[in-house]
Amino acid sequence: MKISRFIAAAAILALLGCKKDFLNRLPQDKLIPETAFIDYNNFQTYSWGLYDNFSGYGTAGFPPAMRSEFTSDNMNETRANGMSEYAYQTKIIPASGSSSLTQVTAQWNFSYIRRANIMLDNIEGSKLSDVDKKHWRSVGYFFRALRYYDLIAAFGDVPWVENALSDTSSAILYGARTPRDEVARNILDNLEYAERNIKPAGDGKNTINTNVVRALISRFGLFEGTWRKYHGLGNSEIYLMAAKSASEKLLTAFPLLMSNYDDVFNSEDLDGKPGIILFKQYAPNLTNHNSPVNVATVNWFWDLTKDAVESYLCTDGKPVSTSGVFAGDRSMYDEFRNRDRRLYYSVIPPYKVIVAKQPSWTNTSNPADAEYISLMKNIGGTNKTLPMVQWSKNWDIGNTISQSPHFRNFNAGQPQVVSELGYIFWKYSNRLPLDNANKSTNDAPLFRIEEVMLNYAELMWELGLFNQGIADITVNKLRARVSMPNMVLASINGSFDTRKDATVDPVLWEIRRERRVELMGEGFRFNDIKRWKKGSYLNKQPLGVWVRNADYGNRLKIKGGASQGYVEYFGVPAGWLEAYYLEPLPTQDLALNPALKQNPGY
Amino acid sequence: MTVPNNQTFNKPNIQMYNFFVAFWREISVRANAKLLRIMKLIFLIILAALLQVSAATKAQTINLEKRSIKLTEALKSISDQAGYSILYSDDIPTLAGQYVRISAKGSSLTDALNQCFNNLALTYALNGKTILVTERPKSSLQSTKKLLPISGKVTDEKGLAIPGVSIKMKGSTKGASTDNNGVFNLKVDEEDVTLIFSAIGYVTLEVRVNGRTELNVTLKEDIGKLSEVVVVGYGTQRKENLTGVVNTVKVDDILGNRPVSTTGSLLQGTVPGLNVAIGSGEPGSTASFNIRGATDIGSSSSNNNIKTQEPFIIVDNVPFNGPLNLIDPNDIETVTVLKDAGSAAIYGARSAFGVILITTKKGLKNQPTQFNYSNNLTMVTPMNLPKKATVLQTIQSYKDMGTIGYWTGNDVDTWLDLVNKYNANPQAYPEGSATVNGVLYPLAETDAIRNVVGDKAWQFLHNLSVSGGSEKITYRLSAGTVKENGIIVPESKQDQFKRYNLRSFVSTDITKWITAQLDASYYSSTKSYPGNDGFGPAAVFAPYFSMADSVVINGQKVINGTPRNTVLLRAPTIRRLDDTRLTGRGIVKPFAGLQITGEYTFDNLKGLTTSYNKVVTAADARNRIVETTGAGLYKKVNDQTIYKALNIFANYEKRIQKHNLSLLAGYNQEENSFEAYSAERNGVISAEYPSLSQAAGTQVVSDSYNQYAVAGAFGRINYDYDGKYLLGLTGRYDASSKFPKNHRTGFFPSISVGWAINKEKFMSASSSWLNLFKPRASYGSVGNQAIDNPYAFLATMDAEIPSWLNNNAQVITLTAPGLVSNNFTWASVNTLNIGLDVELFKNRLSANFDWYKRETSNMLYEGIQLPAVLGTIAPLQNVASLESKGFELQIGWRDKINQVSYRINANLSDFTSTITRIKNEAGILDQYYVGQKLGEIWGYTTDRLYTVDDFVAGTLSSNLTGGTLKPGIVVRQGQLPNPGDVMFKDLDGNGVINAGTTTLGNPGDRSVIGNSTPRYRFGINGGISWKNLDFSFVITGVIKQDQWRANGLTLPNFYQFGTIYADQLDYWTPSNPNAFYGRTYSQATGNQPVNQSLQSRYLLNGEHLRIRNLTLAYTIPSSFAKKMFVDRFQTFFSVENVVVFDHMPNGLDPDITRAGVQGYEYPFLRQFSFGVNLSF
Repeated sequence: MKISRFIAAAAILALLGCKKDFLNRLPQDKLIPETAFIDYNNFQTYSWGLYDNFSGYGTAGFPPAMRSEFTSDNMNETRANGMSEYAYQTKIIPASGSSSLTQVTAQWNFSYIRRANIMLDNIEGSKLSDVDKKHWRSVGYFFRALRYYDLIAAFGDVPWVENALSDTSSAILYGARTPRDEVARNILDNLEYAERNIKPAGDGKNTINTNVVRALISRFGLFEGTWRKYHGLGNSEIYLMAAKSASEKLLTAFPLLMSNYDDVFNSEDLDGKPGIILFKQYAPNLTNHNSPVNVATVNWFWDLTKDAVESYLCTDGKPVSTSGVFAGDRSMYDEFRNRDRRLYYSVIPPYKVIVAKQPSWTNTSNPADAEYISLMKNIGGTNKTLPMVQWSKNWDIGNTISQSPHFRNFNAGQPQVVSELGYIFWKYSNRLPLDNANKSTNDAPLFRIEEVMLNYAELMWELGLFNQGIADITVNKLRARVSMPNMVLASINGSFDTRKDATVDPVLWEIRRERRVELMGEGFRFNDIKRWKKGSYLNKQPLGVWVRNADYGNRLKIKGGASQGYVEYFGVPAGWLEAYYLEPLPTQDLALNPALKQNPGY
Repeated sequence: MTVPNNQTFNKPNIQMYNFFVAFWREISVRANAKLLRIMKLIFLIILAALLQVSAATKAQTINLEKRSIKLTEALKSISDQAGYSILYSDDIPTLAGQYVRISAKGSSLTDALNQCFNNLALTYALNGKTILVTERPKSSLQSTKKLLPISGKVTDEKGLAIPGVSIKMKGSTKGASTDNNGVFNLKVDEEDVTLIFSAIGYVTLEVRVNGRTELNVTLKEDIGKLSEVVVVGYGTQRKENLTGVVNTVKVDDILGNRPVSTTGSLLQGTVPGLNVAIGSGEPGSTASFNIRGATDIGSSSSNNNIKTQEPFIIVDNVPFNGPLNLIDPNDIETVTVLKDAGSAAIYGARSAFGVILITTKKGLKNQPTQFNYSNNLTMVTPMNLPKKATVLQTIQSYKDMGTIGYWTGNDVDTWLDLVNKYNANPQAYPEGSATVNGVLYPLAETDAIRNVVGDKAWQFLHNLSVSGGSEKITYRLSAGTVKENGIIVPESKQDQFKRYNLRSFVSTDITKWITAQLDASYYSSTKSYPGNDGFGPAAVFAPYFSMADSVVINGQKVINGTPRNTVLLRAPTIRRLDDTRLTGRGIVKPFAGLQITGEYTFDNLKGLTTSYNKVVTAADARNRIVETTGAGLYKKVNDQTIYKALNIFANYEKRIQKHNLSLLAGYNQEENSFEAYSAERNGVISAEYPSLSQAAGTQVVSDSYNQYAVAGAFGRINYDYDGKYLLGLTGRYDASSKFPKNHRTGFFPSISVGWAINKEKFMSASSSWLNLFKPRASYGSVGNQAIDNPYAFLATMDAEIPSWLNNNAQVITLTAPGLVSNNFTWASVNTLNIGLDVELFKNRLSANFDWYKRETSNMLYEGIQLPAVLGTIAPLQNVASLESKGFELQIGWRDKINQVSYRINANLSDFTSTITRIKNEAGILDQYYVGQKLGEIWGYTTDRLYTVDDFVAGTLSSNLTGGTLKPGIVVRQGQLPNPGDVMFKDLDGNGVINAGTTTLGNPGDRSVIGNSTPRYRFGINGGISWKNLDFSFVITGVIKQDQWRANGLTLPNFYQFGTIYADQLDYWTPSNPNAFYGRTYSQATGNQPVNQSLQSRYLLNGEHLRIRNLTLAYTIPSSFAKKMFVDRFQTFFSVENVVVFDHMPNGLDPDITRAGVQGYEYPFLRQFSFGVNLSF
């Protein structure tokens, strides 16, 4: 009997032992690469993650692309310690690259490269047709090139990673950086492959297609071509010519512009709009951003500099230094009179109203206070009307800002929409969804024909091919949209702008001016300055509007401590250093890989 | 009375009925007469409730005429007619032979029944639809039963009289006690009764009277707890034979009368080396446990991401999945903590960091039925509120920061002027504010903290249990309920915790060699917490923000966004947990010494979390902007964990002369599968009654799964020679699904030895006072499979929603797979432990000391810190090792002087952990490095504040900014300092303050400025009893600790939209150049973040002493209690969280470490509680 008990126990144990799969547990809600890249849809699914490299207007705060403008001569982050780390030499060598995708632009970060490479590595083993394989390779190449363009712009030489690495890929992990020549060449080769092999219509509306690839060739070609030219690296023509060819095809494909400059940035839907090559879509409850609301808060620290304001031409087509219609800068009202209207779309024009009971307002007894209120009504668009309204949900109560300029310490009881320099940047402000934080859904342009036009104009000048005809299909199209007179080459000579950089050709100066004005606040200026090797532009002290301090109880900071003059916030910059043309590599990576050398000067 | 048309019991009720009948029969056999009455009463009440006696319909008339009919038949007929059921107490011996005469014509039910029972030794009772038949209480029949006197003397082994010995009749509450001469007198109602003699310090003795009238008894001195048996893995061991590090806590001893509803708070400070952390006083807050400190390091790259993994928590042999606060401490008999490998290794893979064994209370064989009831009524009040600066001090601080116009629109000078005027004459500003140029200037002082933190709240605890046993069956049933209200706006009823628990344990000896047991429990808890707890605004609001419920803005009345309204306007997040756990166990004893146990446990833990992000429109209390917040998103998350465990093990014990051998062999397998799905939708139609169906918005659903399985075979050998030389060997072969196929298994052995020196002959001289002197040692290796992600060996791609839209629609994408190492396997934890157990002076003094070294080797860690060009984090590999060293000391003393008995226990423990192996050749400081002490705080060393003299004369502007530093004055890289900014020490002497290359080789000017590991934790508990009064206390504390906390409570105007506290006023101003705090800047910008960055000056000292509990209990004299039919009646008053002595700023507790800009979090609660304990 006792034996039978043991037999029973042994039988139970034996039974349990037989269950072989007991310890094999596989995830039910996750995929592995072997199962994730089989058919066309799989690749499309994976590729959506790559599109997130386009941050557009971001999801909260200011548009990420704006960040690099703060360090350029266009804009200032006017709060303590907001000074350009390049102009004021407060640049610190980082310990490591950030891992957040939206912050990586100028960071030593390769996670996005890996993401693209994983897709590229899995194309050959998939069940795709040859045509589809080429298409997805093109898409992968495009995104990888997009990131490499940021990396090369920031660091110069960067390791080229052709396939996803593993922890045993020592040759690359512990190797030296790939020379810029080779990386740039690879970027261009990849993009040209994509241009030839991508499906012309991409994967449907607003996806990477032949035109988007060309737009990147145009942007990258101009960048690399001019960088090489001004930094003495040679072979600049290859890139300029590639950009020329791509730009020409695009100019043919996109002959028209949206009729209102402001609508490019503040439209609910950019789908099918003229000149829009690729945009980031926002939709209620799905993906929202916060740019318009941010402009209207106490937390908006972004002013244009006086230098940027002065770069806008007057309505006679001439710069402030020589224009006959420029009214001087002894008040903001004068300074803004008869200017390129893109200025009004970028900086809140001056006004004053009486707000007795919110939100209603009345004009002051002085008609001059209302000059730009009527002007804004007349230049069209519903997005930019005056007076400015601060962010607030409840419009029954509302908060109308009674004046501009609206200095932070003289906010007349309304702490929102205040500025230190007086030139508050409001290009991304619109009236439509000013509602609740993170609820804005106006679409963000990513590639637009206007940039291609400016790329084309500049590269044609660099190639010695610029002429009035080129000006007419590029710069003058942009000017026509904002009712500005044409650029007439014949009239541009050394005395056209008496304040210009003497080392720059007068026509090139005007092409660059047009670029600066059209693309203000979109994140191009800092890279432009670097590729032109014009870091010295940052040595100018950022200044604000001209005021009489007595009008403000003598509490504003005036340049030089004078009783009247330009408002200042940061003092005189320490000045640009030669090293700043390239970013420093993080100390951690230098410590990990002795073959990695720091960029010179750090 | 009414009768239903027919029997309407539905099915479950019949089952319930059958169960109760069986149960009732069972207990009625055991119970004596008095208890039976009480039980019957309770039982019938419960039964009636369960059977849901309904208001039935028909008038009740009985027709039955018989000259002679069997009682049972008569009752059947009557009950059928009346629609009643019958319950017989099955101990009625005379039932079968009873015949009755009945004549009922249209009689009432009671009339008919009265006829039946007339003249019988039986009686009946009606309850609901049940006729209960029992014997007529004997007392009524035998009122003149003879009482037999008995007397005697109780002495100790030396023949000395023992006063105060309690003498009880077994199975009764009757008893007496000895007088000062050890003499007792008693009357018993039967000749052969058993008397129980018990006294503190003596072994309890049972004596059968057997007709004697004089009885002299000798009690043996209790040589303590040495003979006690303690639970160890899959078995028990005599305490004196232990060789591993095992601490046992009897919950009744430590629980006493404390108003503690969770086991976690109970264990704080009781077991050295068991660290119990409870984050806040929030009702239902869960405790986290850790044994002997750091176990592992986090896989993230941030420094000091130390893991203190939870020990393996086992309830009655089976791992417990739910949070431990689901278990009512009243149901727990003992908590045993296995700390070293020698004792814990038997549990294998998950016992690497110790085991907490919880043994629940059970019934005992031949134990009379015993009821216990206890309750607590507790009033809680918040401890330690932060104190803000006054309005004047606050506005002055704005001015001192250099603010001209405050961000709410006010001109600071105007404001200061107004506050001064207001303070001089508050009547002049009846509104408590003034308006200048259309701007509102609040002037009156308000209290945003008190606005949300209530004065008091109430908490209740009830627990009822019944237990008992016969020769073959034992049982225990218990039910408990807890309701705790928190102090966040108590009237909102959003801050609550409720728990119900039911437990039953039944054990039956089916034959002499087979025992079957069923252990069933159900727990349900509901925790509600405000959607927004209001602590944030309460902490950051300046002391002048209006706390009015509504404000008028532009003539419109708007709800004011006070902290309190923040809570009230939102819906709470509610988490409900239900745990059903069933264990079936069979114990077979085929022959003497061998016991085979097979047990299977099924545990189902279900959770449901409901949250609703209400759309709320209110004015911001600070700047009066009307905001609408909340997405109106209603969300439900359902999760379920199904856990199955099988244990089969055999214990064998053999004694050959002085050789004692005990063997254990077994097999264990466990399977855990977690599954959750979540659904959410916005556009809820009714904000008051939100649901997923009644909503118009987009539906978002998702799910997640997580499974693992472990299997292991284990064995243990315990051998001792004459109780002197002790040896324990344990081995376990484990396999886990968390590892890839070829690296799945591991063998983990341990050895432990002990030597009871006191038992040696050469020690006989000291045997009178040295009761135990036992050095012991253990060494063992245990595997660690505690990896959060059970699929970490696979490179998986998770679904992710990108921000990119395609044609205005959301798309889904996959993340890039990470890297996985192909030789990923177990980490092993090796522990060496050396200890000593001592008991002295008849066990009045007991002490244990342990020293240990625990090495976690081959930890899974990001193998190598790889260059960023890889594009992902390095794969996990078994490459890191960690060593913890520490000691534990516990000393206890208990004695009795005359009528006063007292006890005191103190314990002290400490550990430090060091990284002994890691791949960080470059010595990067953001990573772990070899030699790193865990808890290290790296920071700059504060030198002093910059002064005006540090700047070239004439370069500073009027507000002391923008100056040029004199040559040789150090500056932090990237910084343009002003007077009042914090100057750091230039440790590397290179003239600039920076982090160097953030490597060990070049740390710049940073160094280790402190360590956050709590050192020298101690606990002291004790008590004193005199007659019926008992006083006890619990004290815990930490002797050394550094804490870095940067938040609004520690640093002035830390947060841009925050405020300043009363203890932060010593900040720099031109007239206070030697301030403690550096210069502050408008909106917390400028150099302020640097001034308040991690540095030596603002480290906090975490040393503290906490009086955790004081209790005073009074036991009502038993003679009085008996009049109320109870055996024991105790009332008590207790204060929990009495006081803490520390060095923290007001409002911060050294043990509440949640961080955030506001700094203020849910405080600990002081609990004043009153309650009773009843046994009957």
